[in-house]
Amino acid sequence: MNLLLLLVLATVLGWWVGGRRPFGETTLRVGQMVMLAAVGALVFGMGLSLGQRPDIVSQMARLGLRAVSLSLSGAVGAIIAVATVRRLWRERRA
Amino acid sequence: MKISLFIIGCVASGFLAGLSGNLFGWEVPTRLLDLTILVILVVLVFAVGLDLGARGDAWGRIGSLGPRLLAIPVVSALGSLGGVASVAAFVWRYPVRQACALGSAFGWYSLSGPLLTALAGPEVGAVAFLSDVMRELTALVMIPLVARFVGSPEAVALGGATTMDTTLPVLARATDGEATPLAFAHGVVLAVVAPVLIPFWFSF
Repeated sequence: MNLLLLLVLATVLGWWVGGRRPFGETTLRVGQMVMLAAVGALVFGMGLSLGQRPDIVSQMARLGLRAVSLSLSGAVGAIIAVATVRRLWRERRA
Repeated sequence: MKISLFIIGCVASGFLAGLSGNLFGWEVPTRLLDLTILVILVVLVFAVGLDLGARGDAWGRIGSLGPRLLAIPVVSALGSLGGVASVAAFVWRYPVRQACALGSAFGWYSLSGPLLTALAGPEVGAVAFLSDVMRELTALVMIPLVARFVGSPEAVALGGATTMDTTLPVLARATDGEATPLAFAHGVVLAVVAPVLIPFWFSF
């Protein structure tokens, strides 16, 4: 809920700033750079938190194949389901 | 492709840093790490909102999604659940309720690990945690490629429940902001469903 509120506030702020030249273009450029840097920091943190947990590292070899197969099957299942439904929608419209 | 390589590099260097900490006896306190990740998430969501608003047509795009705003999350959840549950039950021989529960977190590893440890034991909890971490990492790496070669809604579906936070900026970049409203709605719906659905499989 807090994230939703933050997103709405930032969107309103972005809309307000975006209409004022040259701030709009600068906001977009800076926003993109901040996003990329933050994603890098976030996944580094995730890697760090995994790597420094010996219980997870030791189980990774034993349970890794199961985990990989389950994560891939979930991802592929979601993609196939959405692609199929979109195709059906398109065919119904045509 | 550049974004995917950048993300792989960051994860790998973080993981190696964590492993070296184990070897040389230093450690970043878990609470500090969790707090840092939370702060970065807040910055990320703010930056995504700013980006969405500065493009000017955000509200129009949200309105133009219509019924797809709910239909795509529901279809994506069913596909994800079906995929995980069938592999868990038929390949790894998990009981049906555990297989369905493994597929009900949609990549939300901080929920699935502890909750399934409590409901089904430490091994199922560890598998859930690892598979959901890998789902998120897979999504971060593959979203730019799926968005380019398959489509934006499919790229959103790949992210599971993480599309309202961690994978949202990658989706925003990969689709030039086009999929941001759908991605956020998708993440919210799946994040609401997951904590209800996981215990549901053990309730009968």
